[in-house]
Amino acid sequence: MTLAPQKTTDTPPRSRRPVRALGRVPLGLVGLLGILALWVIAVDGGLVEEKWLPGPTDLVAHTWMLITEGYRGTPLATHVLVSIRRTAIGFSMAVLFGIPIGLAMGRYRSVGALLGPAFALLRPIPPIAFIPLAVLYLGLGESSKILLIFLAPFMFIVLNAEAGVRSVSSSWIRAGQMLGFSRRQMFTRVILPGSLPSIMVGVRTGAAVSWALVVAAELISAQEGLGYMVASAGNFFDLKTVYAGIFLIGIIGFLLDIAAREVEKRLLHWQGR
Amino acid sequence: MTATHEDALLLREVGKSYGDFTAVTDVSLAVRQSEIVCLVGPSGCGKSTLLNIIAGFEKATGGDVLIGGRPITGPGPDRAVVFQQDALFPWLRVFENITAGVRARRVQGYEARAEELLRQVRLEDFRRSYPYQLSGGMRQRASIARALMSDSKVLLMDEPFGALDAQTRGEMQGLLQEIWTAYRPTIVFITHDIEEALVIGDRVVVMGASPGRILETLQVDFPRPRSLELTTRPDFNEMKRRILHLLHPKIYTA
Repeated sequence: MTLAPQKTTDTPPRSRRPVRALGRVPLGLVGLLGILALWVIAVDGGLVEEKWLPGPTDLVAHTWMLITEGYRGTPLATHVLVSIRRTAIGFSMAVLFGIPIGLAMGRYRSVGALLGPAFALLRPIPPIAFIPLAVLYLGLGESSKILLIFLAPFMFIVLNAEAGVRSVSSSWIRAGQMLGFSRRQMFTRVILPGSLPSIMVGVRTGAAVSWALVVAAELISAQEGLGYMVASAGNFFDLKTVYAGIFLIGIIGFLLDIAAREVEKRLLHWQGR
Repeated sequence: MTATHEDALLLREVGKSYGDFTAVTDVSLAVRQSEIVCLVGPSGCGKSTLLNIIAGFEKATGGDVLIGGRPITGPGPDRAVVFQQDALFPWLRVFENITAGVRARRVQGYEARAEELLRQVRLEDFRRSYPYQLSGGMRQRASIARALMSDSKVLLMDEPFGALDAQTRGEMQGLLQEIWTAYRPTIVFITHDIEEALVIGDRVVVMGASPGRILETLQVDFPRPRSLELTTRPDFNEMKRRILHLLHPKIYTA
């Protein structure tokens, strides 16, 4: 019979800096380079006609042209900034209204009962289905686009904030009670920080969704914006601009997610993840 | 049973039912100032329900609970609770956790006492740590310091060492006795571990299930400080045997 090694009994957990992360980055790079290689082979090897799929070097050159000369008279930077601005406004409004409404729904049973079914019905409707209504009620200007960008993240944030309040451990509430917290202190010192992890899930998902929606929103007769640029270039069979726009949308969305993760990490560092 | 000025905590015929189900019935118990009373019993005997009633988290459906002669109205800092699983606030550092109550109640000049308690539970080097950076035993030590910070009349402990490994549990039992020697708190301590109850308690209240009730109360007169060596003495084992018989009459009746 072998003796199991004595388990160390009561030591604090070691900080978990994963070694795995190191092994992952090169593998991810390999994947990206692989796709790039296939792309080069497909275009330069003549497997795909260039008018259907521009090659990488061609695309970089075309993007440079878009930066310096612009698309249809508007510089690329303006298209990018217009899209970011719309997203920022819609998303900020979603955060501003979504968190308090969700918290109230979780905190007060009456508010939850009042609004819960309405949100349950609205949630499965794809935001794009609201485009005709937004245009009819708000016209073709900025407000209809911002409303569309606002709606989806708003839903995510409300639902996650509500779920966050419900997820607050009852032992934290009891601890607050026995420490003599007032109702207000219970909210600011227990419920708010306790529901923050769930709120942040909503905010992060909401950020990604609102950026994705900018393209859909800019299909509504916009004159500027990345979504407009892609849609318009598509109409003119300008595939290089379409690809350049799609890549830019992807890269900006990726950077947005990194930023959201960084905010989350700073706010929730106490989770020790 | 009448209240005397010595009784820190008095339960008079306390009962708790949920509809037709009786969780606890007819529990009467007087806990003297600075006494440690351990409640032992199988799961479902209502010992946690009883503790929640004393803490004010649940309302009794019968009888009274008096703290220092006054009936309780709800949870409050006069009854500090150490929970089974750490109920520390994970977003606060150890020092902030320990002082959360006094800060919320705007108590002035708490820093010295907080420092003293940190030393008492040997966490002075971890005051700036977050709970996730602590071991299970350290978290329970912080919970104990947080409870003592309230300077409450009664300390309620709900299987505080139940989730710890045996060695850490032994250390915590020693630490609790040190704390008792230093501050003489009145303690109601819940456990399902008979040895733990006998090592810690001045009295052991043995509870039975369906419905939850007191079967018997045993006086434990072993001198303090008590070490784990106590658990090897014949008279200790005799008491343990008695409790086992009370708890499992069918299995252990020889």
